[in-house]
Amino acid sequence: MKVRLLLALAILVAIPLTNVTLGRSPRPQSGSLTLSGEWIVKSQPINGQTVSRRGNTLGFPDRDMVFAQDGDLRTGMVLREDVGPEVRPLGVWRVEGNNLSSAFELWCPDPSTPCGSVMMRGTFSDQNTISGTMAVYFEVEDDTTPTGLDTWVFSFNGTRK
Amino acid sequence: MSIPGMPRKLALISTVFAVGCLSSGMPAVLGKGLALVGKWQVTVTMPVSPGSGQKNSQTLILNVSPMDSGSLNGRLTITDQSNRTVSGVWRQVGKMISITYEPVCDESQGVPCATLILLGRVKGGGTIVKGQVVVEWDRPDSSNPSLYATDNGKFSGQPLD
Repeated sequence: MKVRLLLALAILVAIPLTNVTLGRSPRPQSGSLTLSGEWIVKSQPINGQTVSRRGNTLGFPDRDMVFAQDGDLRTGMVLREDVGPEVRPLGVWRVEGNNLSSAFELWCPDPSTPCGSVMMRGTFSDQNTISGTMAVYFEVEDDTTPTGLDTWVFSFNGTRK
Repeated sequence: MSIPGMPRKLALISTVFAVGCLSSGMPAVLGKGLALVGKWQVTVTMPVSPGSGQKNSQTLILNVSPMDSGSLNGRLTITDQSNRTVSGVWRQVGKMISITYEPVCDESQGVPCATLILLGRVKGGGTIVKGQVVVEWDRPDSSNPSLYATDNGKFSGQPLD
């Protein structure tokens, strides 16, 4: 009986010690991670793809993104003050465990240029760091894609401001 | 008084048409975003899981708020059949409307979460909204241009107001 108790205690002590000695940061708990707050998100091309197959692009500006939560209503906004003080594309978001998802509508003042929507998928490295990819679905037909829409992806890294 | 650059007769016809629209209560379909503002009952039909041939239809209540002054994006709430409400965003470019939202995620069903774009038009003088649904699942797929599994669906709806 004593042996079993000592063995159980040893396991309890050993697990946290193993994590420390292996240098792993504790995995963030589901529910403790949130996008709420302000983030600076930097983007980079994937495999040198700076435009879509149909030649559309958003470029690679740093994005100042603000996310908020009011109960089950999770909202987002991109502050594009580099373009204009009122340019604020709106979005929504959710977090499942370490994974994040967000979606935005593009800001399209000129009806003659393609508009679209952006979907952002990524993970938290810690509470203040995120990374992943964004897919832009332009409202331009492309029968080579499963959705039928011209699609462009790029990667992003974000840090909490 | 004539409008510069517009023949007097054309100006008169335009004025009569505009007054007629206003007095008849006809929705200003071509006005900035006015066609979509209000409550809608919308049915979304899409695959039950990534790549599945089996489809499911959900009836949603969309409560679309007007855009803020100067904004090209607006917000809405989406309430599903289980009375769960999430946020969404919308925009209108010409006759095209786009709504993006993150449906309530229930991974216990063994189906990945997803993000939806409803891409379509308001038709019939503001009495019908219908179009394509783009589904991006939370399932990585390196063969997809989005880098995540996608599917297509459809939606249609009528105003409730």
